[in-house]
Amino acid sequence: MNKWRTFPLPVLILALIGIGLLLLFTNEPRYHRRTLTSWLQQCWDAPSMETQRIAEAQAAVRAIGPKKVLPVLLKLLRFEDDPVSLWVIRTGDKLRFSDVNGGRFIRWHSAEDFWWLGERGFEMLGTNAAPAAEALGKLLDQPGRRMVVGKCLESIGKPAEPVVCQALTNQDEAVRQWAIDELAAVTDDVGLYVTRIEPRLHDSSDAVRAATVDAIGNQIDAPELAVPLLVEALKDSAASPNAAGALANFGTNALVAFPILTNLVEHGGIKLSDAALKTLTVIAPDQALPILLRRSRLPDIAMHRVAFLLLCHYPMTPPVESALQTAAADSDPVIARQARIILTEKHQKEHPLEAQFPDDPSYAGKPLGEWLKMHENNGDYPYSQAASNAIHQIGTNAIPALLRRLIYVEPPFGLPAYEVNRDAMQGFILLGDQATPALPQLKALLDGTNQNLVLLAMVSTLGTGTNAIPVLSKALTNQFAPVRDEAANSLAHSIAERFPERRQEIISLLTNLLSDSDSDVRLSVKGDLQDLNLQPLPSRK
Amino acid sequence: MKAISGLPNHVRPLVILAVVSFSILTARANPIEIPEKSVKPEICFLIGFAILFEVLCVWYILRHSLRPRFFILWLLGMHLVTYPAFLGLLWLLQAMRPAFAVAIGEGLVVVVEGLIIYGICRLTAPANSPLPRPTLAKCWLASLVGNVCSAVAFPILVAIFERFGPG
Repeated sequence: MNKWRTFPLPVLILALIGIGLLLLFTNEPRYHRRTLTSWLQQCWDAPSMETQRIAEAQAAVRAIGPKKVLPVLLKLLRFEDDPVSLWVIRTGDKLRFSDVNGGRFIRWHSAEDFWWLGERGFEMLGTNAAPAAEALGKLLDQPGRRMVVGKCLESIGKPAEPVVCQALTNQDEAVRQWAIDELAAVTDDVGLYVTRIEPRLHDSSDAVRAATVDAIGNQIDAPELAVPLLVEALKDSAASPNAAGALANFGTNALVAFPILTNLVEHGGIKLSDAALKTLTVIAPDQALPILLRRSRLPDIAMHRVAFLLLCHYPMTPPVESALQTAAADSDPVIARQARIILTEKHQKEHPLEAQFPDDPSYAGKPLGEWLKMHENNGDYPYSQAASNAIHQIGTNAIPALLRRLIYVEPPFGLPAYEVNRDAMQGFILLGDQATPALPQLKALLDGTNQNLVLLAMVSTLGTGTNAIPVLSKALTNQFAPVRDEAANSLAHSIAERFPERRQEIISLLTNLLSDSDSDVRLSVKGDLQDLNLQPLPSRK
Repeated sequence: MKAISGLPNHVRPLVILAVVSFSILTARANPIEIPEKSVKPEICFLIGFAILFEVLCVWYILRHSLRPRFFILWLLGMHLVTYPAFLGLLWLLQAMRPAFAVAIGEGLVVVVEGLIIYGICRLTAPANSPLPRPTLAKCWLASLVGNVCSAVAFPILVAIFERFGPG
């Protein structure tokens, strides 16, 4: 038993070490026996919709009080990563034992995590964290911390104004840029704000000068202050495109800049010239129109495109329409397409869709086109019961009209009319067996070169059940891979499921596609065949 | 308290202890519910080797002191308690900087393992041996050296694993 007598001393030492460590790590302020960091973590982890958990954490932080909380928050923001911690985090992550997101047994925190925990505390304290503003200002110089410290100062708001003003002259240009934007949030008086940031128009950094110009450009309530500064900034090559663009915010108040902008359009660089032209169309649209029309005829594609896109915003006057008609045949596909869309929209307004289908059959006083628009949900399928009934009643008389709608393209340039085509396809499916007489025409459409139309024609046959099999098997050899894919899918699911007695035939059709040239089709067909094999065999009668 | 003599009486508990100790090498169970892939099983080997290295260091330092039979198995068995306790401590300290948490955990492990080694040597060693009983200080030293060696070996093992291990 002597052996046991020597044990109390070591146990006592251990207990003392334990108590020492306990004291060392419990000096953090607590609320309801939980540390401040754990409350911050709760707020950080809670999704924004869990307002109760967030409010609980906020209440805890406020209850602890800024006097105790702020030193801890600043300490969190001062954390630096050390090589050992980085190694522990990296190795734990690699072995999938720990991570920094909370998905593993242990959740480590990198220095950046600690910074953002601290930021959360500042967010909760708001203006109560004002005593820490100066200390935060000093942290702005720390590498990688500008954003998080900036957020903390943002949370403090107005009391952080002196610190943000100081940051305007910080040696780091990124901090100066941040301060220009941030100062707007904490300064109430526009005049004072502009006066404060005006010296930054002469900053050594191009980016800071450009940011200053942008910030001045946002002061639309003070054109008398902003416009002269922006006009002056047009002389600064680094900030002139920003200044030219920003003048547009002031509308006719910036008319004073018209001659300079006109000059810049002609003699400025591409970026400056484009910005100036854009602003001219806003501050003096009528005077800018001849410039636009002239530039839209220039051989330079970039200039030409910008002028054309600005022209698109003008009302459809004869000179504009004439320019658009020319642009519709432009060699630049972007310009040509845009011009065609605008002219098509104009055409649609002048020629309503239904007027182009005067021979459509009617039911209960309404033409087919009207029934085809009656979806249950706005623009979504299926059709309402009344529309389904009406289309059934019209029956085979609807076929010519549906075929016309299926191949319809928007005049005058033949742009696709997806909605009309899709409604026709749905009409065919709804007709069911009654659509069988249309199968030869639909089958013929499969030889077309328009993939979308081929797909629509193929799907239109699905309502006819087994009668669709010849069309679908033809589609299995179509030139377009998506058509082959969709045909296989329709056979395997729409047809084989409804008509299990045709399953063997469908399996043999699909087997041929296993050596298709397209890997997606092969993969998809393999899946379809697997699905078919899983289906129960048809019962023998 | 007389030391247990006679091999048959010793064998059974020691075999059980050995089986339990080495089961870590083949353990695949992952009781932690996580949405992603489970802990890499290779971690068992890394930890197993690091522990074995530590045990050998402790054994080497205490080779001239009084110690029980199958001392290495006793030491391995000790890790069945101290290693999970170490992980639990890391879990408790996870809100701290990783380097601090690991340092505190390792420090406590050194102290506790030193105490356990001291207890093992005093309570289970044969009384009739001419070897001197180890002092507490020596046990702590052995524990410190063993854990330092293990802590140094672990990153090397991880590096080897990263270099030659799968994917």
